Amino acid sequence: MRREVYLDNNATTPVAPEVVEAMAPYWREHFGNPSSLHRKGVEAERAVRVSRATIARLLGVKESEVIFTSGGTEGDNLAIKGAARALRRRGNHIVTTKIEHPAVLESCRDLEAEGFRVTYLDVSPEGWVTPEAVEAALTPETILVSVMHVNNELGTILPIAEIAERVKRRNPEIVVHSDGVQAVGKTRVDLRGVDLYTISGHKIHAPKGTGALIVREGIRLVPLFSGGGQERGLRSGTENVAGIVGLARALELMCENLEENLVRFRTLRERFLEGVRRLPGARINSPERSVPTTVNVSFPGVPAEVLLHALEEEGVFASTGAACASRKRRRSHVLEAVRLPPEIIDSSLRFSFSRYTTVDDIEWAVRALHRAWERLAVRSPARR
Amino acid sequence: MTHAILIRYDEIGIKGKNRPEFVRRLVENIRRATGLSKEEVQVEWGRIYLHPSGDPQKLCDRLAAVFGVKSCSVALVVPHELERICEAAVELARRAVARGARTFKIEARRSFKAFPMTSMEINRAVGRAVLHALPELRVDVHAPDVTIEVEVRSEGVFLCTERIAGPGGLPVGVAGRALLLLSGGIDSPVAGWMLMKRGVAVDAVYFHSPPYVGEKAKEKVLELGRILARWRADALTLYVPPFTEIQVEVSRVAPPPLWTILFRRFMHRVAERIAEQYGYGALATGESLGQVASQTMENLACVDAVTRRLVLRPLIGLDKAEIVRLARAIGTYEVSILPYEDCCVLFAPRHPETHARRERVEALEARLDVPRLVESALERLEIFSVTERDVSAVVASPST
Repeated sequence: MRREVYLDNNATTPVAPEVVEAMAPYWREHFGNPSSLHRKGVEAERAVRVSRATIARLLGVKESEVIFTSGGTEGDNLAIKGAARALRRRGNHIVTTKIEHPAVLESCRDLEAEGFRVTYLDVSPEGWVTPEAVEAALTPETILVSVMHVNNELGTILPIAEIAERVKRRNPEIVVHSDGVQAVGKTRVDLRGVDLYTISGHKIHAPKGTGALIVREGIRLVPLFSGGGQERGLRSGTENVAGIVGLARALELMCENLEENLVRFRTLRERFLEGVRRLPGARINSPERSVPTTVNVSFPGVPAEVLLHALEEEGVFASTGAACASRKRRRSHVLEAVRLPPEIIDSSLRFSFSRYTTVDDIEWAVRALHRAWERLAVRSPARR
Repeated sequence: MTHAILIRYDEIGIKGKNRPEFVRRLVENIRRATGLSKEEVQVEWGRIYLHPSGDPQKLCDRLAAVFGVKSCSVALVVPHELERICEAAVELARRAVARGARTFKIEARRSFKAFPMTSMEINRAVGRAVLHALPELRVDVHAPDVTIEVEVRSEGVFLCTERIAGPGGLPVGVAGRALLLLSGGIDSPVAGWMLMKRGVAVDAVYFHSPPYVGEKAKEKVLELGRILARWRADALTLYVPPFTEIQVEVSRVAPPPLWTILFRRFMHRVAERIAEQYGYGALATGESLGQVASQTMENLACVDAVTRRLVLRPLIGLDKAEIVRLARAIGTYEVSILPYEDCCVLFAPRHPETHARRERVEALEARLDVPRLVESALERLEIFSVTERDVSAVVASPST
């Protein structure tokens, strides 16, 4: 079979065999509705409860603080719109950054249409926001701060615990949200001071359509959905029982041996960077302070999309920071926010690793990169 | 009372000696599009009747995509008895009243001369029955809200009120086969549709340039093929030769303004070879005169110079707005505007030559091994068979 090296794990991941195995009984045998009073319902309810306990333990929060959702987008929407709408009477100002996921940015735009004011903080060239900068943006009107934990395109780890501490010191009433979709299993998660934290299943080997929002005790949210009042009334809708079981199992796989996993990821990253540095002109965009699973690199002179397809021909899958559509390019708002020059953005590729990535995979990918580079850098008409 | 669908075709009704062939093809296309059995389709002079077991309205939707159909109607069928005819007419009138009609007329035609009444007599008798049953209706022979057509034919009497317009044109397949140069853009699918409308069985060729364009671009073209296949009643064959080598070689020897014209000359060469091998009488393109800088008369002539085959350009005199309107009606527009380019920007010069001189172009081509490049593209030709429901790769040649 043709070799495939999947290095687009920040986009989505394959479901782990252990996860599939854990989920299977909840589709076929224990398919009950957790709200049902009979045994079928009780079995399902127990699975949800046990999963909730697992997730709470792994993230260091209380069981009652885990709210199951359909994934990152829903979690971000529920956190931001839910908190802002609940706190409307206390103020109308929100602080976030320019490098958030669209689920956060678009939620903020929706709130602007409802009359909220939003400050979008600039970031450093590393994609970093200082706690001081966040503090400086606070006003007496501020009700919500949302800063992502790990950036999906660069891998930058943001200091959310420090930011939360600063914000709370200034005004303990301000709610702090963080999008942790790209963080869990890839860096230590310390939720001290963080009131709302979004996680997604399909980025950590659980299926698409699974996720959770951590909602700390005492935080009020206006729900997005009306219905049967499941999940403390914050997320109505029959629980995705199998998905919840899968999410918990995946989180176990990712977090239980986190230190060991991180060591392995760092080895992969070093190997990869070594190989990339041998390419003339290659520029590494990911900062030092980033998760070891994300490497963003530019290869000036070759459009990213072309390089992406050339790698694809060798079975290596990555993703681009800009899509070349006609003569207008749609550039990543993140890479623009860290002020990379256009030619660097247009030639940037993101490689993201997972627990299944091996050293062999990395070497294969590096060789493919070298071959593609030679072929395209020499023949590319871009030099005109 | 039973239902039947009455199909009218008129353009092909006047085609003299070719007529039996046209009708045979139309019936075959109707059967393919609707999935009806031979027994369910009845061919009469000037009309085709369907006697479906299923929902007649759904069949009418399918017929709206069968070229050669001028219009169709869902008809009530009754025996040759005046009383039954009147009952059916009253039923149709009642439905029309429910939709707000206030005036009507009866339009009878009698091709079955053994029926004892003339058309005029039928008009009067049926009209009286309707007026009697529905006193709120009035007769208006000039501009009625509803016309109840009564056709007395040997096999029974057919009554209908509404004509659902078909697409017109000629049945696909009566006017030969053409190979369409299909890009991911708005124009070429419309060009293919226009030819199908004139009875041409259209298959397509798409030039793919990995890694300069991705799989999504190819998928987009397959999707366009799928939409076009709806209009041709059977599978559309999509030929996909690789184009990368040609693009890279051309860009190596020629200045950017001439790339477009050189690429097109190569496309036509490769397409002609496919046409030869698989039996297509013409090539077809979506070009429209002067639409973009490269589509000038000089440039089109310079491209045509590489083949001896007829090149059909059905959009040649249309404006962009007209083409877009057609693309929307056909259903290809939404797919065409997806952002996956059929040609990488790297190979799209900023200022393409508008008046390419053949000598200059030929001199540049002399620096390339043209036959080898064409051959190499043909050797790696991929072939897909695309129907409205499915896309499959064809391993063996479909026809030789």
